[in-house]
Amino acid sequence: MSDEFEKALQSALRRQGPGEDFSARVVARLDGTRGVFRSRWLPAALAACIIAAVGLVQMRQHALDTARANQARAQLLQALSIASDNINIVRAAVAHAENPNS
Amino acid sequence: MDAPHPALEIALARAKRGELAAFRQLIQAHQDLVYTLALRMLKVPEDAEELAQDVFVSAHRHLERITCAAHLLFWLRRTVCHRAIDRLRRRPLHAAVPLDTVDEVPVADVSHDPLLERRLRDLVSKLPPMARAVVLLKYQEDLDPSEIARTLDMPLNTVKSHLKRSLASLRAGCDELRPIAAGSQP
Repeated sequence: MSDEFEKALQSALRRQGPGEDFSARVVARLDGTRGVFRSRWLPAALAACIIAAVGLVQMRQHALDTARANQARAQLLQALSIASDNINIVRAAVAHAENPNS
Repeated sequence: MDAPHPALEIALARAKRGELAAFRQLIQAHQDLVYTLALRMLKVPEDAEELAQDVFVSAHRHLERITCAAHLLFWLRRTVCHRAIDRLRRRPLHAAVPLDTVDEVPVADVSHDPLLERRLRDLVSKLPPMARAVVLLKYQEDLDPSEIARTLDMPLNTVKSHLKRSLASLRAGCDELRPIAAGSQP
């Protein structure tokens, strides 16, 4: 009985086909997936994005450098101005010491 | 049941090199296995078709990791079973399964006892998902318990226990057809 029952079970559970063109439908899905990822536009779009990103980073870096340079220039001018004022004071003091009546 | 064929090894090697025609050959060789497991697990032909397609698309993505035709066969059985069980877990408990779609796919051979076989398929479809997967791998795919254990990541004793309990349940369910089922019994 056991063997007969298990044979009947095996027969009942034999494989069935998925219908016509199943493999074609899978391949079409694969083609679609490959189409998206392997399209000639995708590498171009990726390259454009990378170039734009690099350009933006460089522009930002240039702006930062310019701002730093302007700040350094202003500080230098201020330092020179202070030094000039001090020299004038010293020069006036020296002149006054040499000629107290002037 | 499915001794790997040299032609499949060649097709696998070509498919790994990106030849879709070779991969299609692999699909055609295994589509009945994958689709029938999916159908008997999910019970709805549309769901089974979708799952079977998903499994093959996934197989295509994993081809580099497939070492040989036998490995592909193992991978397909394992993947379709695990994904079907996952889908059944996510499916609402009372999800409707249209009665006219269950088990209506025509089979190739003329059955010796269509009534008993239909009853058996109906009873198998009512087993819990894990037990159903074990029974299908045993009686549809003709795997031995140790192969089933490896396919489902399940202890061997659990496989044996599922088989024993499921067979008892199926026999009990066939009791009403016993005179037909036991036609050869003395």
